[in-house]
Amino acid sequence: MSGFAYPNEMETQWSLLIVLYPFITGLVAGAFMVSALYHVFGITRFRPIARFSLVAALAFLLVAPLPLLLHLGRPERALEMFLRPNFTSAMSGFGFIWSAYTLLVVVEIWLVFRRDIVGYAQTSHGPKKLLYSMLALGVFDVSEQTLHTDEKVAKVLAFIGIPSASLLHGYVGFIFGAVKANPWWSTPLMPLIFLLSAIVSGMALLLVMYVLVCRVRRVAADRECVSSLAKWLTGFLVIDLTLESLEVLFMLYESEESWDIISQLITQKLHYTFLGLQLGLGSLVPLFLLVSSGLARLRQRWGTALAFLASSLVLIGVFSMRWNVVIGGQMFSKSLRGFLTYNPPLMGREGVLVAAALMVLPLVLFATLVYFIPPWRQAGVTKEA
Amino acid sequence: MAGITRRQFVLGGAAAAGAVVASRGYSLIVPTQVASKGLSQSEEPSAGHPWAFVCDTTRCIGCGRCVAACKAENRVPPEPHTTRTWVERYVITQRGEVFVDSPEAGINGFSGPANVKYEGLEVKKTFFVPKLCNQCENPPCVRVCPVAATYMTREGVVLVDQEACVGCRYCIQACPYGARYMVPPHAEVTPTGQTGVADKCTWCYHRITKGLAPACVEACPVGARMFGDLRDPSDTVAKVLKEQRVYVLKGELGTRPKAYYIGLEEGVR
Amino acid sequence: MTHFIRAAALLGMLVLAFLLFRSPPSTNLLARSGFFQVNNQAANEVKWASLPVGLLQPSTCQDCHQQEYRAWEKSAHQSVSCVSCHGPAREHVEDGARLAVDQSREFCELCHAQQVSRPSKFPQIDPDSHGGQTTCVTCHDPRAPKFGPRVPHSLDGRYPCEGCHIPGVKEPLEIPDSHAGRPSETCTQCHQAK
Repeated sequence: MSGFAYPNEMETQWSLLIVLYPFITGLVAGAFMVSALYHVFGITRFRPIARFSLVAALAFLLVAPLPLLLHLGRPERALEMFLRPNFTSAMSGFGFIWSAYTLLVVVEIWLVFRRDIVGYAQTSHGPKKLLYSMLALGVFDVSEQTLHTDEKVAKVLAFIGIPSASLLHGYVGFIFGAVKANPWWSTPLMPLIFLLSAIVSGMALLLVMYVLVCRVRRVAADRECVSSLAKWLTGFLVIDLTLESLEVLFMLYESEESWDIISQLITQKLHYTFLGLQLGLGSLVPLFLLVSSGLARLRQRWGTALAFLASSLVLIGVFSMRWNVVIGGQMFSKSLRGFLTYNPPLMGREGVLVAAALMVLPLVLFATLVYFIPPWRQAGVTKEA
Repeated sequence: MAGITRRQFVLGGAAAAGAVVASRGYSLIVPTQVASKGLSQSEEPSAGHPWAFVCDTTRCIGCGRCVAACKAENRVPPEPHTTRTWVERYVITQRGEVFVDSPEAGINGFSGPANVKYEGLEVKKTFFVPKLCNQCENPPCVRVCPVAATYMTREGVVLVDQEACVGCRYCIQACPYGARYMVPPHAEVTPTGQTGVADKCTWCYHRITKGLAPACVEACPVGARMFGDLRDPSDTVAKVLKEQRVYVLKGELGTRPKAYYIGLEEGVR
Repeated sequence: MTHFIRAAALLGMLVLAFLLFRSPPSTNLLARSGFFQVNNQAANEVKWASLPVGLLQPSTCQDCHQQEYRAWEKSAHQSVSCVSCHGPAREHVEDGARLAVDQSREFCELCHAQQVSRPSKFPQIDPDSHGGQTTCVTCHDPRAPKFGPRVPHSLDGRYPCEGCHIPGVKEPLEIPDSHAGRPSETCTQCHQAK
């Protein structure tokens, strides 16, 4: 500690796990947006990753509540969020929004994969056949007309999914943005910044995962898809960067009472993670890479490699952004007169190891899901799609 | 408590479930609440919020007896960073610098090594400021609690139902005054036997409801802390609020604190 | 279209399960096993209000300690509640637990050590020069703190003399330089103690 802080502030209340939570939900919201771009807005170039992104969204979505649960002082009382919610609290929406959204994603996946599920149910044997038959709800009707209806319903669901995904992540921004006690958080831009960075991180994640999965499967990544994804990423990254800069610019220009401590926070405490990682390495560098690879007509291999690199950097940048918001907001005293420090412990319920495990878990879930419903295959017939 | 009646949910069959949600959606969503008479409700409805607290910074001597009394009275965990009340020392220099400290939350006073810290400075003005929960009329902590575990009584005292608190710590983030803390998960001394939950000053609810002053007020040797009932015009606090110019902390945030300060200086927050 | 009907039925069952989960039989069970607490603010208010009072008021102390009370209420310490120095007295009243009072200099200095931040009118001493290192209660009665002992005073608990009377130090009573180096045993040869 340096300077003065209220005695009760010595403990950092929202730890590394609360950094993970908006990072993970952000990935979900972003991944879902990509699938919606295909299903609703007809961006056909995203076809190779439309189903892929839905499965990825589900894998991360299922893990999203875990960091919150582990962070609670009384995890066993978590269900109270459903049983006695207080709707003046943005946080109370979590249970309902998450449940509704999970339901929506599951139904969407079911509709989009139903033809495959029916196909597997008919061609497999033993327990697998039982599983697929149950997933198909015992209905094997895959006539053109039925599939067409499925497609229509899926489209409607994806359409509903866009505001839902925005809500899922926008409300996380609201949780922070509506804390008037904290000048680093309190801005109406916060939900928008969270949303935009969510979309950016989700797109970057899909690009990284898609390229890696293609590598593992020893197939070439779809060139059009990757370059199109990179373009969309560039666009959203520009908006995101603009919003994030605007926030700080306004604080600087208005120079309220709190600017004194916030300017020190940025230049002395968060200079690596905010200026270095979030703005520099995580936003400006990838922006440069993406724009230059778009202009320079590179060969496919190089184009993909650059997009991959830029996306990886974006993921680091968005993670840093979550860190800078959550931890940065707790690194200075609400008396605006001093700084506090937070070093996540390695072990323990809220330690680095648990956090690392929580980041690996969605990938394990993803692998499991694609084992049963590979998004790149259709109804038993291996086919690039 | 006797006479608790639960709201009963009447459920239709699976086919009617949708209709149930549509027609009774609201009652299904609002917190499961119990209607029964509490302490405040048993009295006649009081106009406004009858209790107020006054801290006189021109009298405070920084002895820390209030902090010690509070820890003992309320079984507050002994660590300095889990405290319901504390004392800050402000030192303002001729050059306009402001130094603030609160060693061990002020429980051991301000003599000793910490006193040396300001030697050599050209002190223009220096004083002590006692801090505690402001029992805001518009409390941000109550608004953000996801499970309605923290609430305001009819008399305007903000309390935490520690048997319901999930320990998310949103209220700690939302309090602009740093008045809240979490009872450490392995604490041996606890206010209500619950650990891993939020806690804060209750203005000694168990004392004030019996007509006694809060423990810190009782222990203050110089009358720097005052507590009173505003319905009683002869009350010291009512008089102070009538006759003196008082100030609240961070009034610009619109929290409308009910702890008032005499002799506050710009820069105290 | 059968699959839509089945899916809808499944969904309906899920909603029903959720509603059942929120209904009293389930919430009662959850409450009994500590997973859930019914939102009952009124009952919680009563819980907070019924916590034990630890710090007693001087009027309670008066019941037994009348002499001390009478001295205290006339003294400069009348604004200092009994419990401020003696500590919370609940256990003392309930089961006669001894109340230990801190008689160290440090304890008195919590209030009376000189500090620039204290209101200037508040009585403060310079701990380095006032009364040597003798405890304050050697000379000051906490229930009549303003004045030192009447002279001549008894030597009970106040021996040796130079604990308080230090050459070159003004308070409590300056010793002439000529007295420097004289041991305590010689003081009473000229100065009368009570």
